[in-house]
Amino acid sequence: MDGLPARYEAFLATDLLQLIVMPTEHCNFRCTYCYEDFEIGRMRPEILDGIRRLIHARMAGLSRFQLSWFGGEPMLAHADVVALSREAQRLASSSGTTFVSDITTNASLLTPSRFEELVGAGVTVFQVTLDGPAELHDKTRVSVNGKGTFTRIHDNLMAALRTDLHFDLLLRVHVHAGTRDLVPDLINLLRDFDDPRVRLFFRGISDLGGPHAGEIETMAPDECDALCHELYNLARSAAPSAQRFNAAPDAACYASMANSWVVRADGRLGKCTVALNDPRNEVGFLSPDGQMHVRADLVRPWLRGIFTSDEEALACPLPGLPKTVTDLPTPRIRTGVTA
Amino acid sequence: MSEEAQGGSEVEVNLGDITFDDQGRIVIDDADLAQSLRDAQEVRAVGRVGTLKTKINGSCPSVNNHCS
Repeated sequence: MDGLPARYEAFLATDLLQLIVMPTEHCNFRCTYCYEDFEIGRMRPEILDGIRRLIHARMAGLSRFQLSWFGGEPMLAHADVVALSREAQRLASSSGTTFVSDITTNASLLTPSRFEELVGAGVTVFQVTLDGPAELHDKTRVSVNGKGTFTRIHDNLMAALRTDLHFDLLLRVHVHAGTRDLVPDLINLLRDFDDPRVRLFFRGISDLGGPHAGEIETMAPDECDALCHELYNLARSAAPSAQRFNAAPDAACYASMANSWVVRADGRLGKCTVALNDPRNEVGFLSPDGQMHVRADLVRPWLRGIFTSDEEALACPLPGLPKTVTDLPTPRIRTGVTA
Repeated sequence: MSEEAQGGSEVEVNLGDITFDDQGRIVIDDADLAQSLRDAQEVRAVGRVGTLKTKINGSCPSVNNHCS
């Protein structure tokens, strides 16, 4: 399999680290297709301390540290995001570590001053989703009060693009059956994003489980692929400076890698940001002293693609996991590591 | 490790040998396997999930860290 050695090294390397931190699992949106249940609130200070201590302990030995902010809506904990990012940025700078940070945000709270603050703290990749032009978006990406959110998001993104700051905006545009009726409006909207810092990503809405599982209207894969292809072509003339987001054909999920961890708001450690209520994804916890208590028996199945060269298991290790925890390999916990 | 094959050797990868230290770093308990992985120039799977076999060819003194 071409390319495996490099990927193999990267997936196991101990001088690379990605932490996907959920500083809150609350959200100010209630998107009609969301898989999260919002039951865990803001990250407690002692968990933030644990992350801070872990970063302090590991940074000198890292060649690259990636701090990814996820939620809930991480901007509800904006002060924590900025403070921890600044600290990581400072530590990385002093130890010669490459620091990269990204945030998946609905952008409703991404005011110009907060945006500049984040970029200054090294958070330079923003993934933001629109469900199409306002008429579509405001039906599905609604606030917790049931109101439309398009205008606020659009205003914030336009303000960001008016700056000369260095950042990347990964604009995820959700596609569903209703999109086809409003393609001209959508293409017109994309003219606003004609900027080389923008990467366009058309993506069908998926049913990823959660409270709305089974009720989410999704398109047939072929139909969705055709529409996305058409939109990419149209976007090329509407926003010629914008990049097209291309996941590499051999892309692997962070959950497949031995050096990537999700830190839930309550300190639990996971591998996947979708299967949040799956016990197979509760692979340990981070304690306030910065120690990671990892259940290796639960992590191993997530990593199996590295050793089997199974592209599907690398791209998404969730489907092939043993169905129950009791089916997993026999635990072998190292001294000092508890479940 | 088994016999040399096509310029390399085959190493059994038992997922049970993989653990993690208290800072989340992977630890491979099998010293032979760990050394083989460090030296690996080419890694190809020749087995499936379970007790796996990974084919390792040659040795590479450099470590190139590629980020996903």
